[in-house]
Amino acid sequence: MNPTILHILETVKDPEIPVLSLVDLGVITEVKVEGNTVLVKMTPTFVGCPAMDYMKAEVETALIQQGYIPKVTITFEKSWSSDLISEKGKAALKKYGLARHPILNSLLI
Amino acid sequence: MYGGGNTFEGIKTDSLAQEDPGMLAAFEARIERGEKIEPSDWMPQLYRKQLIRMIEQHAHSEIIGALPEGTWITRAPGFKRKMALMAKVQDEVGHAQLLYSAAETLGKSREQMIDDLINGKSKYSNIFNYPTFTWADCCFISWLVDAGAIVNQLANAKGSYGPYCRALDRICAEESFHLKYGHHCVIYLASGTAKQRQMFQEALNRWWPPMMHFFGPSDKISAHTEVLMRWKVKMGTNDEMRNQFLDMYVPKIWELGFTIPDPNLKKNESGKWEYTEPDWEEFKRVINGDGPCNKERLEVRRVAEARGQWVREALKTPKTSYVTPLA
Amino acid sequence: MNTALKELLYKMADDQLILGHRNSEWTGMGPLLEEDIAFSSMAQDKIGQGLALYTLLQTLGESDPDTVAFTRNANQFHNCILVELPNQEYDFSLIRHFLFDSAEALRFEYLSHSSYEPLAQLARKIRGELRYHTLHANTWMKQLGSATEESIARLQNALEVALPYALGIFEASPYETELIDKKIFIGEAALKEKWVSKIESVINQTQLHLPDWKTLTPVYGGRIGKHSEHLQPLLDEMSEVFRIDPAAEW
Repeated sequence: MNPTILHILETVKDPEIPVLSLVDLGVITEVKVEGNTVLVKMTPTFVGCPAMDYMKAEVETALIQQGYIPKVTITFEKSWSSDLISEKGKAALKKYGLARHPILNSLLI
Repeated sequence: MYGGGNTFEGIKTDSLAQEDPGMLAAFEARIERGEKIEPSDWMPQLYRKQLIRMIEQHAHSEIIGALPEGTWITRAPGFKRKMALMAKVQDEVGHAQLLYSAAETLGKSREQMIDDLINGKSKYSNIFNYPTFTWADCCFISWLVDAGAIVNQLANAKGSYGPYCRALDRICAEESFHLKYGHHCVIYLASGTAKQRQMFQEALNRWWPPMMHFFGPSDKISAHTEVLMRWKVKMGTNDEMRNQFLDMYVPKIWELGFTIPDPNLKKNESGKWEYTEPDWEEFKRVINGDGPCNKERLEVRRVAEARGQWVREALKTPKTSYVTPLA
Repeated sequence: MNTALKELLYKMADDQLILGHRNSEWTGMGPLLEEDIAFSSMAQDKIGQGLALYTLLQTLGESDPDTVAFTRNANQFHNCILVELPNQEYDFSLIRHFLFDSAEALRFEYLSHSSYEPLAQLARKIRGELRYHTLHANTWMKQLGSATEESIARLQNALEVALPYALGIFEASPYETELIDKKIFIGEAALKEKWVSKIESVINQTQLHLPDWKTLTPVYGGRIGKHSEHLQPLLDEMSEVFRIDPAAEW
């Protein structure tokens, strides 16, 4: 990913987990820069994620503030799974005390 | 969502005389230096007792608080609201889970805490003893009760007990997102049809008195809390918290064109808010069990516990454990 | 092709929405906090999946998802009857969750190879989410299905009540042949066969027993809009606020 854009996107955090950027969360699946326009593809962690619109708006704002024209699309082309969380993200989550899936939390294993 | 205003009864500091003076002084010096107290550290009995009481009340407030909003999940208007409300209420239950774990580090089991809740021995935020008649009541909670809780919780996150502070850091991050959701819901009502505006105005009229109660009795009549403040168990007086809430949210409510049902509400020259003294007799009555929904809320909890008994029993065979300690 | 495809999408979307609604009723009522949270997670997944399927329908010319979900009457819904039944005790909810989600997981596995690419793409996403649902269901079935006398008896009883309704999941659509021929979907009969062996393999790891399949009479009707008395009240509740003013924005 273009380092300047990466740097900008890393400032956008998961709305409920301030230690985790959207890049480390793995929901940004593709970035293309065409002149001043930045095309971003995002995918929700789960189909009904209510924070998706909000995260999209935050990405747009961050790019606009740095003088870019964002074109953000939400797509399922590439599905999110916890494997997409970066090593840095995993370490941050562990430190924050979140490591497990909410459904699996109730399992007895 | 917890207002912290339920520390109502006076504190007996007699037990402090039995503590080792050297240990006590060292303990107080650590807190003074801004260190966090951890579960295995020495602490006075009174500190332990007060923290258990506070964290437990907070945890109960999260599960009981899930009920008035929870009843609107099945009725939320449209997918967007429904999804967000489900996620929000789920977060509240998750907060309870975190908080019970934090309290368990002090030596009281979750089971015991829940027993004390359904037997009426321990309290929860008084505001959840009021009913949500309409969608707008639910929006009031999502926005303003959450806002009040954040004011209190942000302060408490700077307190002295490590596990509670860490739980609060996470809780506050989630709550600040909830707050945005709640604010959006109210903005839509405010900018919607006459009927929608009226719905919220009526909710505001109903919920303002309990909202003022939320932070607890006025400092003038409130129990002695100096020692709790010195130990950083309580991080601000009830009136300070209330004032901070009013300062942040009254302008936002006015901005949306709603009328707060208190003709005396205004900010004075010294920057403090003046208001009609809330009815503390009603507060006491409700907190002691005689509010519009106390019985119903506890009954729901009691029934849920009773119906779940066989499941919890079955989890013990073979021996399993489902609690993840926080600390 | 559109009629057949729409029928398929509607019944799946309606299943997700209605079961998601039922799951969400466990919020604050679960036998332990962890289960409140798990059922809420599954509710969010299901309602989100329903929304995504309704959105797909919108691209095929149907109304927007809110209008479709919040303004139809019971006889216009195509969900199977199993999902609309009240939650009852936790035993029934768990058994339903197990029976239904086992079918779902297989259904979306097959759909991830559908010739209708937008559905295949969505199915790949949904399939991943459903893995957690079946993992959850199977773990709890194995635990409670072998624990105490009471838990085993309760699950056995709930299983017997739920099975005829579960068979209703596979009520054939009038367009089965077309869907199969066009490789959109493998078809309900094939799905059911896979499901039966899946169910058997889990039940065999518990102290529960399955009745002879031949003795069971499937409860059909849901797919053609003939529902139990429980669906309309559910829909009335769901649309209570929305109907105050369907043109308003909330």
